Amino acid sequence: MEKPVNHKITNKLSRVQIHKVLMVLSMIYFIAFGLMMVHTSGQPDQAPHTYFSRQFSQTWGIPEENPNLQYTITGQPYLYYWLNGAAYKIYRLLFPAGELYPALLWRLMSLFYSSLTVFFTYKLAKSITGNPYTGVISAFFLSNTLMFAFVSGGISYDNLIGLATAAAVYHLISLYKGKEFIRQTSLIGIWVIIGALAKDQFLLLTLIIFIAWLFYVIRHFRQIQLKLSKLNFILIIAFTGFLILFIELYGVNFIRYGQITPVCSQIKSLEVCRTYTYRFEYYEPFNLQWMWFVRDSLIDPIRYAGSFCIFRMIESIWGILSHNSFIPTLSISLHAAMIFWAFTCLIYYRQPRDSKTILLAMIILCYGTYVFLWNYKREVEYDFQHFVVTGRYLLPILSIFLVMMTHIFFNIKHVFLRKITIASALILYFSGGLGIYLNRYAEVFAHWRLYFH
Amino acid sequence: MRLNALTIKQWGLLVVVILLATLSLTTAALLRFPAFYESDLSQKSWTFLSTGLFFLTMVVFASMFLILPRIDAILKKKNLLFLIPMIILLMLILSSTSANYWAVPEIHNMAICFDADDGKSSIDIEEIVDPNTNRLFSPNSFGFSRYPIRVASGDCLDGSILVLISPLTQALIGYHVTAAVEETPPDGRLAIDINNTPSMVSFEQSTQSQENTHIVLKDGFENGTKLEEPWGQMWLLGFKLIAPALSAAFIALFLSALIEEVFSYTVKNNGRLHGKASKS
Repeated sequence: MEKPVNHKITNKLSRVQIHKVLMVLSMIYFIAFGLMMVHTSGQPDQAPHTYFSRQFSQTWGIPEENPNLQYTITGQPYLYYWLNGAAYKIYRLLFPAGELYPALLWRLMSLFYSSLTVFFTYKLAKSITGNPYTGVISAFFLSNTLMFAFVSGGISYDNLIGLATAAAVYHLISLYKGKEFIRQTSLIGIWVIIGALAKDQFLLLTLIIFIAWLFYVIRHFRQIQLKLSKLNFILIIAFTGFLILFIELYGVNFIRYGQITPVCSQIKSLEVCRTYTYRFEYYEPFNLQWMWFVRDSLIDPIRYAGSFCIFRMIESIWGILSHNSFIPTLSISLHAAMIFWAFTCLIYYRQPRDSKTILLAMIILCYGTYVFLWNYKREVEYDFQHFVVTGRYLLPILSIFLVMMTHIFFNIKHVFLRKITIASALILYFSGGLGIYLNRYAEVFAHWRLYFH
Repeated sequence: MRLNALTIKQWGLLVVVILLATLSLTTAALLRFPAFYESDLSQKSWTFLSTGLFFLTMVVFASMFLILPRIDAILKKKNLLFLIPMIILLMLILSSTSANYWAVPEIHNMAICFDADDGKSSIDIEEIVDPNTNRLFSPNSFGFSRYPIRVASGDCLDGSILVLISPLTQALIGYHVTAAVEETPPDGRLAIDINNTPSMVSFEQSTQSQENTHIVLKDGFENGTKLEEPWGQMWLLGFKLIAPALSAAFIALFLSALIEEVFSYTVKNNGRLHGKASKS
């Protein structure tokens, strides 16, 4: 009989933590996909994002307003552009003769934020389920979501607010799990303010996360222990600093302009501010009395959701809907079916006492409802012309949604069904993500190729 | 199965399986990309080797850490119920989602000449596209690494385009190539030869409209050179048939092992499966 080969190395290999290796591979995978997207054009609103980033590259403070352009700087969330500007200035300081295009640098920064979002998605799923593999799978799902990867390669504050959401919710869940109160609270605070200073749309998430935090504090008031370590002290100082910046922006705006951010016409002349003029012919201000009068002919929110909105959201998250569009219908339909299957499993295998998943569901529900109502209001105002109706506005909660979906799939009690579901989801996400990008490159994405030299 | 319990024979078998899986995955992946067919022999070899090395690393990792330690559980009768449909599904996906995979390339020589009325202007060819699939042809053979292809007045550029003839789509696709020129081309004559069959377009500013910046070329494609060797040979076709099956089997084994690992982690660490208490 042959003797087995005794390898010391195989003993060592068997002790490797596979989930960590898989997570590193997932990160490399996403970065590689993201680098391809960095060299792909058509991401939303690149002109204003590039303009603001360039303006912030010229000063360490807030740049001066150009009265002849519709782009407004005064009173607007600035952090994303400030960071872009700072990165470019530091690059120039380190490499005065460097030839890196600023747009490429800013696109790479976006990819950096999104890579961190993928990492926090892993941490969030791991924290919710206690199983690091759910984290790896959630991170893989996120990495293969076409619109997320596409936006990650462009200049956009959406990448920073995606990161802020994933990180803030991760620390919120850590708080609910009973981790150190001061540390988690400070980190939640820092991340939500980072998000709010990047885009005003994030204020709603700030409010939702604050309410969830307050709920925890009220329910666990007696058990909360305040531990003041050196790190906690630094975090409190950092949080206070961010809080001052938050009040300095939104508090001052509220006093000076009567709203959280001033509109262009409060800063500049009306002629300069008129953009998208072709849309004005459809515009009628939102009016409940008028809606009541035309209620029999008006498309109601439920019909709007069923006939248009939900599918548009799905095709513009798992497809690409922007200045360049790519809607692979079969892939989109299969993703829609997967979401429907997740909802079915959620109802069938529900776990009513799982407070952490209820919390995630509440965040998704509140934010999703807000985006839906905001879209509906705009549709009513613009005679259902579908201007700016896109799933991109749901990207901040995408990581939470995918974590929930993975968690639901892992809760399927029937082992065979659970296996088939997870394997099919992995195949679908790869085929509808990097797979479809590579497969259709010569036909679609080669036309969108960006060169930086 | 423990790795350190493998005999030399089993190690040998493992190496063969790993190499076969690597070769299949590399073939199944690369033959989907038109760029692979368009590259020259040295580029092809380099691409094949580097992609093969990448897949080899992945296959070795997956085999050593995931598949082999759980091979007994994976090949159990009740797991075959999962494994077999997965292999069939993956085979279907791998073999039917890319028409290029089954294609035989056909080369068409192309010459682009331009004569400007003023004798000095040049013309930009923005894209050369297959209008059936919107596939962008590589401009490399014309001496450009990217579009636009610039043709100076009095110059002729020789190059070629590589059309992929696939049995999956052949019946639906007619021979057409669209050359998109710049929006306001200079006055002059653009001559495009496909396999020595000339087509001519004249540009005049006064009659210029948006539509005729897209030139549809139809003539001359019947004289192309089909690259039957090796793409049409039986041994390659045979391997092309086997590659999706072997790749599908490996991916299914990997998925099965991964899912086993995921579930066993839950049991090890929480003492329970997700949503179901373990019997232990």
